[in-house]
Amino acid sequence: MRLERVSALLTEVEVDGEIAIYHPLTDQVVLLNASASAIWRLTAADGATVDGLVPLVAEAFGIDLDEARRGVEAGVEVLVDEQLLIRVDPA
Amino acid sequence: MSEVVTASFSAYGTLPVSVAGDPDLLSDLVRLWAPFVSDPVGTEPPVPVADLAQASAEVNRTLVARAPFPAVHAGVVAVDAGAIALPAVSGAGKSTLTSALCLQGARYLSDEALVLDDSDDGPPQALPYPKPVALSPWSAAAVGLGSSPSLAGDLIEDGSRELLFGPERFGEVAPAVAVAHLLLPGPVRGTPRLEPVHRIQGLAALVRLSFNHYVDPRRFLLAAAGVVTGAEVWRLQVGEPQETARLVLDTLG
Repeated sequence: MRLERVSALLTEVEVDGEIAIYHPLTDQVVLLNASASAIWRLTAADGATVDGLVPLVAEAFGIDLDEARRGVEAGVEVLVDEQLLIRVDPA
Repeated sequence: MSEVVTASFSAYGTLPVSVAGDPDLLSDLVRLWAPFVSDPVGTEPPVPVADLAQASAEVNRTLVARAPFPAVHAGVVAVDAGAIALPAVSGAGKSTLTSALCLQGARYLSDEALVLDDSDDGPPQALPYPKPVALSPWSAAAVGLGSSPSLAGDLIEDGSRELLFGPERFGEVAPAVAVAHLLLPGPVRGTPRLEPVHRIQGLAALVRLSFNHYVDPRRFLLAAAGVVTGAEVWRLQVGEPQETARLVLDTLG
């Protein structure tokens, strides 16, 4: 599944490596911890996928691939729940 | 009573809120103050000052929410380094601690609202909003003000719950200044303590306690980020008011 950001209208600020995002449709400010912020940054690239993010996160945080996958899956889940990301079926 | 209204509007006058151009706002204000200022026969009955303080608080909320700047529920004082802001909900002790800080040398900006002038480049400036301060008799005694309010003293009856003190009781009002420290008050635990925390927690507090972020959320978020980027953020464990104020000023003043 490809991961896409829901809207170009999000307002994003970064403070000490952690990101806060205002979502105009839900009217909520979502605060991301350092890990979720890292995942969010990586989803800026077109065609981001969980499989594609795992090695990037493993390298960035110096962790093994299994741990990185757990972190990415949990982080993506949070971002989807907050309606910041959607999963797009390429088919 | 008119003294309280005048003092309140004098403070509100520091916010560029146009009452004349806003019929809804004018209507709200008339409704809120009516029980206290309508006196057709010139015989004002005693009014419980707690009611007056409540009306003043409602007027405050109405006006601050309409200020053309991002505004956050917070006590604010100034020291040499800049403003110290204490964002917190009602009843958390903002007014008590703000009073204690001012009576120990900090300059008063507001006991109610951190109003952020974000009209220029650079860090947002905390605007003075020196409204009268409502304190319980316990709080007034704890900060050393005693039980002689400078406003509405003759309105007290039956051991009312709040006393109103005019801003002149707290010394010089500070001019607009950038926020240097953001203190997130925790529960009262006996011994006051300051601990640095991540700036993002300060940002979360500013958003959670905003009066008017819904007016322009993007602008509010950028202003709040500007504040925390330029400030140090602390968790404040609150103790006895004067002791807590001493700790804050010794550490940050």
